[in-house]
Amino acid sequence: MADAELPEDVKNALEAKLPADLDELLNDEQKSNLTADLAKLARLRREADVQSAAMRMA
Amino acid sequence: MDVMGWNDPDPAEVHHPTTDDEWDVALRRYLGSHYPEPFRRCIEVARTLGAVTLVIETRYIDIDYRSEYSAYYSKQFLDTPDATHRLHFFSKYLTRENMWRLARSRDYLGYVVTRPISTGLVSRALLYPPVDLRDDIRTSVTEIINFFGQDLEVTGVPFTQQDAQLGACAQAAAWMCHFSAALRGDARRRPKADFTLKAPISLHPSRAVPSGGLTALQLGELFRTFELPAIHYEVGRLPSPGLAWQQPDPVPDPNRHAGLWDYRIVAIACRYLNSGFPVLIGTRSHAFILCGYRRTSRAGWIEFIRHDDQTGPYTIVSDVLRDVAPDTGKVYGPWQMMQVPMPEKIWLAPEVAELKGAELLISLSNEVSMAYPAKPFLDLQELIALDRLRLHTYAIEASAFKKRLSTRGITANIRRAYSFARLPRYVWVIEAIDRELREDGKPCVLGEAVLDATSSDEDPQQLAVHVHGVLGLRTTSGARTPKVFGSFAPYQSGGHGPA
Repeated sequence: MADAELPEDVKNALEAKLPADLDELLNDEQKSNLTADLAKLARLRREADVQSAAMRMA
Repeated sequence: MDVMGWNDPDPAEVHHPTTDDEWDVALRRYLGSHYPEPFRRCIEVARTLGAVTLVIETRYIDIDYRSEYSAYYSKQFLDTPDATHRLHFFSKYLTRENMWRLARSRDYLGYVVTRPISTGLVSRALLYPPVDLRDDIRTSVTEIINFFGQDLEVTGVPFTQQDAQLGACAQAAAWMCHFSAALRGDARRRPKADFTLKAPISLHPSRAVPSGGLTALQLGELFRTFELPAIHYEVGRLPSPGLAWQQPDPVPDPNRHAGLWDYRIVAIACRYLNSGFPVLIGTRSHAFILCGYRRTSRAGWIEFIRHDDQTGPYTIVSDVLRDVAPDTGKVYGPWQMMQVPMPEKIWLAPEVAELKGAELLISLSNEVSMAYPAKPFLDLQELIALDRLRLHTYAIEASAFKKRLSTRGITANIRRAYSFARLPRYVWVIEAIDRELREDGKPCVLGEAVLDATSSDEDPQQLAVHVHGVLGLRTTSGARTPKVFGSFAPYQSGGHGPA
């Protein structure tokens, strides 16, 4: 597997550049879009939960 | 069905049937039940596994039938036996003389417990899956049973048939999910009658006994009180991560039942099956469980494997949007809802985990790609452009995730870092998959994001992101940790079953 490793200069560059906080991998626009998408998913979940009352299975 | 002399002989009968006629003779007491299909399918599975010895253990005290007997059959005017038979199948020739000392797990194919009830013969069964489906069954559990003083092990998906009196299909489906969880160690064992007696009667318009089935609310309440709260989905309103490069959501057709067009069923079910959790499906008038899936030669197509209490274990769902059993022609009708009973503290929804995990994986992949222009691999954006990137999402106990790393072709640096990481009991793992490598049967995982299963759908928390041999971990102290570098070679999936 040694030949499938990143070169040392690439590792050094990534170590210097990558954020300590994984959240910072996303830029502000991505974070904003993600928040909107998550809110939409949560709304769908709530709607599905309240629709289930009458269902019966024999 | 003949229940005369039901408890004889003491303690067992031993048969070595080879032909259809010989099997019929061995099983003559069980012929003529009202709904014979589930039992017939159990025998078919045992025979395909190579059963050469059948041992019928008479007067077996089955906790499930005993609960039904106490709650219902003992109160009927009809004289009904109070015990079951347990049928054991072996791939080795055992005799009445040597079976008490020579039975071995390696020869054991599983058991079927039969009730003396003609409306529901199979009280429960646990059989190994047929060989051609074995890799595709995702929710197998292991039970150790005692056979005349010898412990025997069997791995498969528990099955039961409703008795059509105290319980209906919904109770049977719920029991199959729950007993699986009990064998996983996620919940306490509950006897079958509890699935009727403990269902809140105020959530049903009719009487509890005899049962006319359960409402979705009753099912949800049962699972909650049985330590396995279920997540509920309504077909037609299914959530999806909505990533721009994934298959778009279907356009709702108000003139057709949602179960005929909502293909998001597939992705939802697969995420739970990848996690080892059975999925309970409700149609307009029936319920059954999914316990596995397989990819077919038809591009992008998936067939599910179901346990249907009315037809038997390990049968194929060839088209979720037009659900007709390929062998019997039974029309199931459109799927209406899905319930997935799970360990309580998996709070984060999988589609939410997948959305955030994918965003993080692609961002980290972009960073690696920019730092390494001459890279000898395709980054995730390049795979998206080639329609080769897929996601494989599953929940797993963090300890199992760590344990399996050593079998997946992951380098020691990465394994070491994960092993020392502080993780919650359950995590969601979102794997980036190269579809072409998967189709070629090669290691195909390029990386994974690991998310905290106890975090909120509104604010999912990532614990690790690893792709192209670069791993970033979050510490509980907030301290900055150096990135960990391993191999960018693809490796095996860590979920249940093939990626």
